[in-house]
This record gives sequence, structure tokens and C-alpha cells, in this order.
Amino acid sequence: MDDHKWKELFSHLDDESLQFTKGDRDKTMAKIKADRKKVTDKRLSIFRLGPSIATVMALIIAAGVLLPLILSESNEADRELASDNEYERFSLLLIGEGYTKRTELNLLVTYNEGRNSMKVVPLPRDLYVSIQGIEGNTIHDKLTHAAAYGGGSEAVQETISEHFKIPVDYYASLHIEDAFDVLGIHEPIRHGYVVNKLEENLNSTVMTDLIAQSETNISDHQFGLLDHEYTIDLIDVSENLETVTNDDDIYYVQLDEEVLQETTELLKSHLEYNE
Amino acid sequence: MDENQKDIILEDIMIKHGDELVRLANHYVNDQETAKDIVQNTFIKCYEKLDSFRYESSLKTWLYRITINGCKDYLKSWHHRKVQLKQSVQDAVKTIFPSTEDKYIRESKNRVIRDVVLALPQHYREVLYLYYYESLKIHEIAGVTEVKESTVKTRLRRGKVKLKNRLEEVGIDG
Repeated sequence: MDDHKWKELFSHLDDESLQFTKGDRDKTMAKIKADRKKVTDKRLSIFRLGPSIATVMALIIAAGVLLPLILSESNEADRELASDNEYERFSLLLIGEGYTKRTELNLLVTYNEGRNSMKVVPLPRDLYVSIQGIEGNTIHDKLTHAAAYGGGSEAVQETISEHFKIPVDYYASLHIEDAFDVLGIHEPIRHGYVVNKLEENLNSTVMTDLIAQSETNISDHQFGLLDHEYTIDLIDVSENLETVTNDDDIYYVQLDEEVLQETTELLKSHLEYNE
Repeated sequence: MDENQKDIILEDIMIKHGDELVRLANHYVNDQETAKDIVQNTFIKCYEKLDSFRYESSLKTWLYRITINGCKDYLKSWHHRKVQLKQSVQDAVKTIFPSTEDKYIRESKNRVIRDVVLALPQHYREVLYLYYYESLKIHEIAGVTEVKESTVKTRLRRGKVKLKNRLEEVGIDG
């Protein structure tokens, strides 16, 4: 499709009936006038209090206005100083959600701008975790149920944060079909298969594409950073999973305690500034 | 500038930019009343800063940016999430009992295109809309959405691919 055709296509979006009418303009004006009146009223009431009180008020106001100004100025200077030698570093949980809110893809990610690198830990859907439920109760179940039992993506974020004892700063959630589409995964049956496909296809372009299609709470600035080339280190823990069956004959997987700690350490040190 | 002068200037600005801003806002929030409220707030803020605009071009960029930010704040708000939940319940009911009128609207091409575009992730939808519908330049889009030009380019490229695929799925070729 050429540019002209795209333009033509978008012209279908034109909704001539939607206008900012005379009525809307009058409403806006009325609001501005109402605000203006409020300000004048306030000014008048100060003068009515008498000169001495007005002086005291003026002093308080001056202190109130000037102090934060002075303080914020130094704060800003600090911040600028800090940003000079500090690169952006954060952790993120990327999840692919299916139709019943079950997450079929769970990637724990750390990013370090200074090292221009990312570490990605694919987590199995059957991982046995403690989920913080909506009513404040803890449920022990598979990771895949975390979004459904808890309050959506944030619940998965908290669950993983708790499990790995590492602060997870952000989440990015997209539909599992879109995720598998981008990753070239066709039969998402076994965790091992998904990891293999990730090893084959995951690079910074693919990662950015996944996040671009997500519902996420990372800022546009951070998204902009991810829109460059960087190295991705995939950490595969699938060799260290133990299968457990509970009393009800339900099957889970658990990550070896030592490997769990090692992974946490690895991610934490990746988030540190110094190489 | 006295208040009378300011009133007249704002009225002019509202006549000139009102319609395009409401459509822009509606594209984000998909609700005409909310879109109008957001644009009203943009103009109120504009009135306060009226003295500081020297060039028409900087005014337009500013109006776009304030409106887009207003829309994004709204989309993040609790109120919006509540409304959206209600809407999805209503949509579910509609799908089960489609009225003849709805069926008619659904069949029209415009409606389908609109739905497909609205279903795109916002990162993509925003740049495509600003580029093809509002005819903004890449650097202008970077300015109003506060991201880098390279990011705008990437999103535009990927958004086009995504949109093309989805349109083909519903049987509309470009």
C-alpha cells in the first residue's frame, strides 16, 4: 500500500458530525469566567481581613511559595547531577495472557542501559507460587492463575517479585496470540519448546515489538530506550525444575532452591551500575 | 492584553482548532462527551498561557500535546476503567442480542475500519492516526507525543504492517 492509499484509508475515520460547536465554545468561556470570578473573590476577601492580617498572610504565602522553589531548585540540580552518571536500569515482567486470564508466557526481564543489555528468564506456567488474592488471602497455586486469582497483571508482578525476592518495577501484558505471533511459536505445549523458540527468535527488535503491543506501565522514555539494539541473555532454568504432585493429584513444577537464589543474585547484579 | 482581547483571541482559536482537537481526543477516548470535556480543559489552559504564544505553529503543537496528555491521563484514571468495564458488559449483551440497527452499522466499511484501527495497541494507533489522518510530520509527532523521532518511525513502520494484516483478516485490502 502506498501513502496515498493509507491516507484514503484513514479518511474513513472522519466523523464530520463530531464538532466543537458554538455551545461548546460558550461553555468553555463560561468556565473561564467562573474561574476568573473565584480568583477575584479570593483577592477581595484577603483585603477585608484588615492590613495587619494581610501582611502576615502575605509573609506566609511568600514563605510558602519561595521555600519550595528554593528547595526544588536544589533538588533539580541533584537530579541532573545524578542523571549524568546514572543509566536507566529496571526490571519488568512480560506476560502473555490467554482468553481466561491465564498467563501462558511469563518472562522476568532486567534491563541495564549502561551495559546495553537485557537478561530474560522464561518462567514455566506451572511454577508453584504464592499468589496474593483479591481478598488479601494467599493462595498456593500455579503461576498461570495469578492474574485471574489476584488483581490482574499487577498481581502477577507482585507474585514474581515475592517469589524471586527481587523488586519487579513494571509489567507489560499482551494477548498470548499476539505474543506467539511475534515469537514465531505455534504449539505452546511444553515449556521447553517455548524456551527453544525464545532462544531461536528473541532479539531486541522482537522484544521491543512485544512491549509495543502490550498494555504496560513503563514510561515512553523507557520504551524509547528499548527501541535500540542491545544484547539479550536468555537464562534457561528448565533443567532445574522439579515436578511435584500435591494431595489432589495436581501437578506443579518447582525451581531448585539453590538455582532460585543464584538467579536472583544474577538479576540483582545485572541491575547494579558497576560492571 | 486585557480580558476582552483575550476572549476574542481564544474564541478565534477555538473556532480554528476546536473540531480537529475534538476528533483527535475522540480517537483516544472513543467517547464524544469525554472528548469535548478534555478539549474544553485544553482551551482553559490555553487561555491562561495566551500571552506566551508567538507563533501559530507552536500553538498548534502545544494544543495537540495538552489534548493528548489529557486523553492519556483520562485513560489511566479509575473512572475510565469503571466505565470500560460497564461498556464491555454492554457489548457482551449486544453480541448475544444484536439489534437490526447494530447489524446495519456493523456492516458498513467505515465502522469496520474504525474498529480495526481502534483495536490496535495505542503506541501504534497514535502515530498512524497523527501521520495519516492529521498529516503531521515525523518530527511534529515526536513533539506532540514526547518520544524520539526514531521511535515514531519504528512505530509507524510496525503499525502499518500490523494494521495491514488485521485489515486483510477482515477482508479489506488497501
